Amino acid sequence: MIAASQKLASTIRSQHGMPSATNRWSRSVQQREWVLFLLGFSFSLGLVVVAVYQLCRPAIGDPETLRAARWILASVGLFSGTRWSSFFLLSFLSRRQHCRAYSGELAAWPKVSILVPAYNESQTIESALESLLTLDYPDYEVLVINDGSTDDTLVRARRYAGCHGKCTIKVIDKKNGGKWSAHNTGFKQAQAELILCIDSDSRLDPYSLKHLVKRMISLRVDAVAGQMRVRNRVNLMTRLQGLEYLMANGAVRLGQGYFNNVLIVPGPIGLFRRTAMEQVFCKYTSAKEPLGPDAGPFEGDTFAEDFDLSLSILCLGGDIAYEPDALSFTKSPASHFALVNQRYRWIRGSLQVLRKFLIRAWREPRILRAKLLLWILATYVPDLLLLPIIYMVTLGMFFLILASGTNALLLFGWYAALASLQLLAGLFFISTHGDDSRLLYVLPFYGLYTGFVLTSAWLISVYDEVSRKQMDW
Amino acid sequence: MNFLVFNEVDVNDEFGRVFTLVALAGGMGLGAYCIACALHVWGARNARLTGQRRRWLIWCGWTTLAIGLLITLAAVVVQLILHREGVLRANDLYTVRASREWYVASVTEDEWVSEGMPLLKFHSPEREADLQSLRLKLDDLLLQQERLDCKPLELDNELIRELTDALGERRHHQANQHDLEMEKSRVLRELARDELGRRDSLLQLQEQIRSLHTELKQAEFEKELQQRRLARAAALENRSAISQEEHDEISSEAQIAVEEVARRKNRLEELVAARDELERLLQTLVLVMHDQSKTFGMRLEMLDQQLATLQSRRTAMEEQLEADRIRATRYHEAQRKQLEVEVRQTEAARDALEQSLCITAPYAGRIIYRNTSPNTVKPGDALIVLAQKDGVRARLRLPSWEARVLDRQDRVVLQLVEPKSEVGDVKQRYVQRRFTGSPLSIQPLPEDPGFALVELSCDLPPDGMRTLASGDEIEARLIWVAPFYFNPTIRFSAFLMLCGGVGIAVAVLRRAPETTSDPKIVASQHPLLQPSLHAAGGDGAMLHLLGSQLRESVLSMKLDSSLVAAAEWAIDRHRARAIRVIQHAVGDPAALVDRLESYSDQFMNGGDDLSDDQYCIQAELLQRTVAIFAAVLPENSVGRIKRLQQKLDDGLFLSVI
Repeated sequence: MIAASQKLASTIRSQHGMPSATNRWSRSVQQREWVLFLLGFSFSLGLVVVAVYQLCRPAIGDPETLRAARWILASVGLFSGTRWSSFFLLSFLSRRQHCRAYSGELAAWPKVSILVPAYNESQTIESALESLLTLDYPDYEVLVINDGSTDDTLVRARRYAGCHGKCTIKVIDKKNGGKWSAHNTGFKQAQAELILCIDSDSRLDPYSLKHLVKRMISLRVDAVAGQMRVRNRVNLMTRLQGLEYLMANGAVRLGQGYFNNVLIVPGPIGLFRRTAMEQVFCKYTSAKEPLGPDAGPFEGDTFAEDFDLSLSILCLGGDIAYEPDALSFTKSPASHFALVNQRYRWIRGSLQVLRKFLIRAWREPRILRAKLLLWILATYVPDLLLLPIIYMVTLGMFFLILASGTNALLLFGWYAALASLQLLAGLFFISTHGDDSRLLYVLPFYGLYTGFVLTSAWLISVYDEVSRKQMDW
Repeated sequence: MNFLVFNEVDVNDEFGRVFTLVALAGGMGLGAYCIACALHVWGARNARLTGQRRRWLIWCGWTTLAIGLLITLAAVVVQLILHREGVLRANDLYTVRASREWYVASVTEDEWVSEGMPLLKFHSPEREADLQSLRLKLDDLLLQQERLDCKPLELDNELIRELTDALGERRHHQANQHDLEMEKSRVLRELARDELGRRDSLLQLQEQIRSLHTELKQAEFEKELQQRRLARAAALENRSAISQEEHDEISSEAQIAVEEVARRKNRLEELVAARDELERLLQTLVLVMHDQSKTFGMRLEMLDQQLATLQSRRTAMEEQLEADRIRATRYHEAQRKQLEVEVRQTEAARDALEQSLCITAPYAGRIIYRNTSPNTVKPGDALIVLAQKDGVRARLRLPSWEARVLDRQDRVVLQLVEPKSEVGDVKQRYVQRRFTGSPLSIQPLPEDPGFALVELSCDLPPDGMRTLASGDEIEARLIWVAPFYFNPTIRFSAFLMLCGGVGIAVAVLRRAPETTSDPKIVASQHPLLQPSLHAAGGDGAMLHLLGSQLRESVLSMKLDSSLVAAAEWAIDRHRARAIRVIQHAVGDPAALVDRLESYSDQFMNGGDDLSDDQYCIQAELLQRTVAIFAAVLPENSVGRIKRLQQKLDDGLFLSVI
């Protein structure tokens, strides 16, 4: 089993082109990042200047359609330029900070408990456990929480139960209550001070855990988010999701990580301090009456319990860092329907968390720390509420310009500018995250993906959430 | 916005059109696909439509559909029956009217004329005579012009003569000057030659004198020597040392030496005298040269002064002559211009006269009226009426949207409106009433929002032209009707109808399966199986059986863990379908909820006779059952179940603790 695990680990690494951790800090990589940062930052600043000029210049003689198009596209350019320039700068500073902060191995590696909630995962649980066995870490335990599966997940998981040298696997069976309840059950039975929460269909890179722990201890933060990477890059949809994870999630987290203020610790890979989770439980969850048997730091009143927990930690004054070298290879939806379903869940969950946060802030204004409020207003709220509208308006304006036959040069000019900015951002963040540059082949479709696919999921999510419809997984 | 109408420079080329079409089609297709997928997901997640909501949706749908239909019909009727009338008039007509004394010689037969083409030619004897005299006068003037061009300039002869005299005198003085200079140079040259000769002679004399002095010295020395010799000889003779003959010889030699000295002295004196004479002559010669030079110089200077005077006189006279030439040229030019003016005047008078006899078209246009008997009309009657190419225009007030649609048409059909006849007037009828017009311009009406003024260039039939030629206006009606789909009201109503249709379709498609009176499945003897399972299929039958058994178990308070597990599996596996069928199988939820509540109370209050394990198992079973019903029961019962669930959780948790 150990040999099979090692073989699985090498296969994972070779399939996803993961370079070794030491190469990520080589001189050539750092030089490349310098160049890409300068290019991207200056280009985005230039875009901001051009957008401001377009907005401020008098539109004498322009027809109505052209004037509106120019204004809208300039606004989009201003928003994109400002956003990307900030991300470029903060991400670059974060990388430099990381280069300076890191040095060698830790003297002692604390024990880590890895929680793996599973519900009807008979097809994937074994490979998940085998990948966990290949982790390069001296002392950790894996708790598999069977959340009332109706298939043979429990049976398959129990085959791996026991001690495997540096790793101990325990299998916990409970009635079905949801992922949050599984996490809470695992939390209660975990013995380590550090708790890693993953999904059962995630495959961790063997060095991920060390990177996460090192980051947490060196920066003294309460949680560390890892990098999610799409495992099944088999078609255009999955590759676009891979690119989206880089440019939408990775870029934001890298920037937030500079201030140790990452808003979302993703479910597939997130390391928490037990004390921080207990504080959340004591402060928020335990305040609710009555407490159920599945009560814990994770709450079940939203469908984004990972985001909920992260935000709770931040509200209590905690810090959350981002470790891009800690990789979790997840399986992303390969079909359009599955993707829309998944995003529907994510967006509704995020909206639920936002509403919950606003209520909490209304009742307890002191949680609104400046840094937290800034990042929520600068990234969370625009990404959730503003970006889809911007995508829709931009695409609508593109097609309006095409249909009306108004100055196509304006259209192509802005499209080229935004596409170039995306390309530079893609190159930069691929470099900073050590991902495969072949992802950029799908960049021409990225605008359509965000503008059509994600926006359609956003529309139905917002509608259902506003009308407070019931929701299930 | 003009869909598929590429009227901008950037997309006029074929590649731009193809690209735009492909991009638009692709974008619309992708958008439609994504929205359809999202709606499918949304529909799958929101599968339950209760009766009340469904009725509400159907009612709204039908209402919206009906309203849309009514609005559409009304808009169509209004658009069809509403008359769009306007005014036809001809701008800038050019009318030629008959004159008392003129007779029409010819009238053009063309309908369309260009600028400058003759329209009418008149005939008048008086005018013809005037014209002929003007032509003769013009010829005369032209001849005068030619003569003037050949005529030389008239200059002042006196001036010319004086200038000629002055030039002659100048030439004379110049000749005198030349001769004098020649004479001067000759005289001075001779004097200088004489002086040089004398100077040479003087030099020779001086040379001779010097040589003679030398000879004299030699002779004197010889003399002295001979005298000493003689003295010696005498002494000797006295002594009778020498003979008398030798003494005589020596004495003769001494005598010769003395004579030689004397001779040389005489010669020297002659030469010195000659020299002195020569020097005196030279001085005289120099004086003479000086005098001659001075005399000649004075005479030349006098001649120069005379020449300068003559030159100034000549310059003054030349200036006068030049001024005179300029004057003469100006006079000539003025004469020429005057002749030109007279020529032009005569030509203008001739042209005016000719034009008055031949009327030409002032602009390109169409002859909308031509009198067939021009010489029989009264003075003042219209002989011919010319209108501009787009001069016949109709102006209509239309709704802005209709005006925009009309602007895209090449030609539209209009109709002349019969004027309203009053009692006693002859009604003017139009035989040919319909005609076509092309849109020229659209002007929005700020004072009349929503409407625009449309101007059309019309191709009027002869009936209408006759009326316009008299200067009257005609009413015209627009026969062309804009396509209904451009009407914004109809578009809005179509949108309403679409929304209503979609609502009805959603309500119809998402309704729960209904019972039919003719089930395909044979009614089972089992009391729990209902004949209404045809819509659910084979799995539906199993689900329905499951629901029914679940209901029975709750009502009988005999909870079965396998049944509960099966129900959980079914809900997880079949989701909305299972919920729908089990909900239907469960039937009236109120009794079920009552039963569950009473059972829960009994269990929580009277569970002491059970062991801990049994209690936990039963509690778990009860919770799971309640959870199942919380998932399947309709919304109006869910609240009670949720409260029951919470109550169980709290009560059982405390019990466990």
